[in-house]
Amino acid sequence: MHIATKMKTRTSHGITEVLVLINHPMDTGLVRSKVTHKIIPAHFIKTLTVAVNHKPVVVTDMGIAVSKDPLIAVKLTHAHSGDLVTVDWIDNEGMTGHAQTHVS
Amino acid sequence: MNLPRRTFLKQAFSGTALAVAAGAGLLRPTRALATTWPSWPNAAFHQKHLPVLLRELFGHRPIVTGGLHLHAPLEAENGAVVPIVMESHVPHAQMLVLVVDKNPFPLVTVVHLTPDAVGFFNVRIKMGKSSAVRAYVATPEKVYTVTRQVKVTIGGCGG
Repeated sequence: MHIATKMKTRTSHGITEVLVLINHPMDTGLVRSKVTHKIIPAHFIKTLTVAVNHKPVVVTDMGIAVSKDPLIAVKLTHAHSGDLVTVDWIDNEGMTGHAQTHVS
Repeated sequence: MNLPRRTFLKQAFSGTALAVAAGAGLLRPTRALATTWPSWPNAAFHQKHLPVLLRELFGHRPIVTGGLHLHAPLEAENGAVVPIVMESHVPHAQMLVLVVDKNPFPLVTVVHLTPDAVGFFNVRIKMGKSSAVRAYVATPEKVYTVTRQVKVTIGGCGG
């Protein structure tokens, strides 16, 4: 299974906003399948890291209460045009995702 | 190591030593990160009792009202997708925390900040039923908090 990670940045007044969209199920482990009547195992992103030029700037720990297909925004103060912004995440099953872009 | 203490400390803090260790494959990137931030707070994410949860996250720092903005809808039609924005401009903010009182597990997210980040976090969350939503921003000395009541018409923890 491949999980797509998309991101984009937009800068105004010296603040760079980083938008991240991940197509992740974010299963809680508390829900019973309507088809099989078995508990759907928990499958959720645990940690998401936003880095500028490979230096982590925001590190987010998440639980099961973040919605399916997380859409997350953070803001950076010292990102400059051309800087490499990367997003990396890891979920409770060890799956990882990555996206990167340059500040325009 | 036979270096004078001062030199050793300087190197350690300059990150040179870390970079060399990482280059030599001694440290995997995830481990290097774990030295900067605590690992995923397993106990806090499983804690159901709010006062204990706050003690685990913030220790004995005093918690005072104010210091940040919490944007949340008064009424959420769909509890599976409740948009939340936390925003704070207090100096030396280290951490933003979001809690939903009546979720099966109240802790939603812990956001670790560096000086290069604005105290800002936008996320969509699940809410099982109507509840107080609390945002916290932690500084080295104290913790600021704001609460909003969100009414949920259709619960979201059922996914």
